[in-house]
Amino acid sequence: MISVQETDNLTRVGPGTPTGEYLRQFWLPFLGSDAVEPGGEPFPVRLLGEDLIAFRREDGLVGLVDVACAHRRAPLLYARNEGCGLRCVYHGWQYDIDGQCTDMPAEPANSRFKKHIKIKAYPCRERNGVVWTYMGKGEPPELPELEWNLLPPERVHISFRVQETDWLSSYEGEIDSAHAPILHGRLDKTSKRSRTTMARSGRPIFDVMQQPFGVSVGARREVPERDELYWRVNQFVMPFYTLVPPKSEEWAELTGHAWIPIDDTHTLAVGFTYLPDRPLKERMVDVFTHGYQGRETGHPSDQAQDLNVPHNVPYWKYVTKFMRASNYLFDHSLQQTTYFSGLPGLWVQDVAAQSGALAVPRTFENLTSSDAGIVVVRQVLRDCVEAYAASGELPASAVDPSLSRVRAVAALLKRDETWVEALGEFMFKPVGDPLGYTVP
Amino acid sequence: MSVSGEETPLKIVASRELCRGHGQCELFAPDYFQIDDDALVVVVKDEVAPEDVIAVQDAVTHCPEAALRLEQARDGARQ
Ligand code: SF4
Ligand code: FES
Ligand SMILES: [Fe+2]
Repeated sequence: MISVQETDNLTRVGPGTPTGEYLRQFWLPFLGSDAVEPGGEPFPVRLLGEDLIAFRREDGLVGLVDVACAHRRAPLLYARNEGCGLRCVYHGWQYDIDGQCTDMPAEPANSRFKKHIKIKAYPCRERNGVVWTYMGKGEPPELPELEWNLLPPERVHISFRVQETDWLSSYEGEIDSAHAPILHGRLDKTSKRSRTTMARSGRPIFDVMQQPFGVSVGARREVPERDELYWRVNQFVMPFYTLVPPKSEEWAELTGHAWIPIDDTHTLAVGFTYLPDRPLKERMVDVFTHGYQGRETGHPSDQAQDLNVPHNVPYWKYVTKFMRASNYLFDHSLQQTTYFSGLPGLWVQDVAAQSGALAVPRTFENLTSSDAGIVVVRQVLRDCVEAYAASGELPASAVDPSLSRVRAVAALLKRDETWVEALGEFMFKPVGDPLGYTVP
Repeated sequence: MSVSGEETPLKIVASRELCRGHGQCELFAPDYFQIDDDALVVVVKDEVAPEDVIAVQDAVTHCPEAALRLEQARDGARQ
């Protein structure tokens, strides 16, 4: 059991909060490499309630520093990105990538004051188009061995977008596979989705298991005219990753998200779709990038960005037109013709559905059997947060990067087979290996 | 105040805890202050000669960290 209060505590991520301190001990994939250009415009970021500025130095290294100049607190958003780092435009103080002040042009030449000035700066690493940062204590561990960030670029599509939801409701939306055939249901019968095994099969029965990497959320369903059971195993990987199995043989991509808490009420959804052993189909990348017949798909399209967002809004490049203020472009009439939900596209449907969690107190919530995965992950998280607060102890996956190497799986299994045994070998394949089974 | 009616010399008291290496003191009174490798003030000599009082007082007033102050040396300290 986990109480309402304990669950709410998991959504408080600012500095000094137990959950926030726990999450800080993990690497955060917080930025797309293409968001910052060498010597280019500094980019405002907010992570775990801290306002920060990301920039790429002229030599290509990415920095992540405090939002304000240590002199008289001028916004470093307006800084010049030159030489060794950011130069405040107010009086020209300059900061290196590690936050050290290196120049104070208005100070007398003999002044050694700059030596005493260092602003907050978090170490960054870059891997396959993603910039990571570590806001935790001590020496950072190695980056986690998450397959989606270890493959060559043509095998992966990665996207970034801001959503106005707490991070808990966000990742919970992706371990709850019961919603998929309903919320994402389509009424136009030609739709590919309506022909998948998932869409044809019955109500899910859940079987949830704690794992060294996090939690496996298995769900089995009856399939019409088949004797086998259809199993889907979604993975929750500590501390905020969700992995979703492939949908069909034709669309055998693995998908998932990193749900990075921006603050208590905003989440950075880092979406990824990948094929471990071969390039993604061009058509698929095209649909992700440009949308499908004017609607959004699994990733924000190039039409989704809200171009009117001022550049002082954290993550302005990742803010979309599908926000609370635009009512997610909901159109009730589409419930008769196109979508079960009337919400224009897959990820928009998820966000709009998840947005209720901030609008209505959690005491209103009534979890049911299909929420088994959510209940277990909440408890595991609570226990991890409490253990870290009490003794500084972290789960194995925080220190052993290889534990994050796991895949979600979907398969048809005989009724007497247990999924843990039957699917185990497909869950822990080496990076880049073929799936090893035919996706039902 | 001295009993003889004559002023005792002023003495510099510097706090390396408060100092942050602005070097203002060094600018105004280089004979009395230096900034070391830790970017902190070192008092080279702490008794202020009468002709340097104004310069040293300037140094004290301009210290942005209030790390410097002047004290009247006690009589006993003169010899
Ligand atoms: S002016 Fe003050 S803070 Fe600056 S070096 Fe001198 S004593 Fe230190
Ligand atoms: S406020 Fe930044 S240099 Fe003065
Ligand atoms: Fe969904």
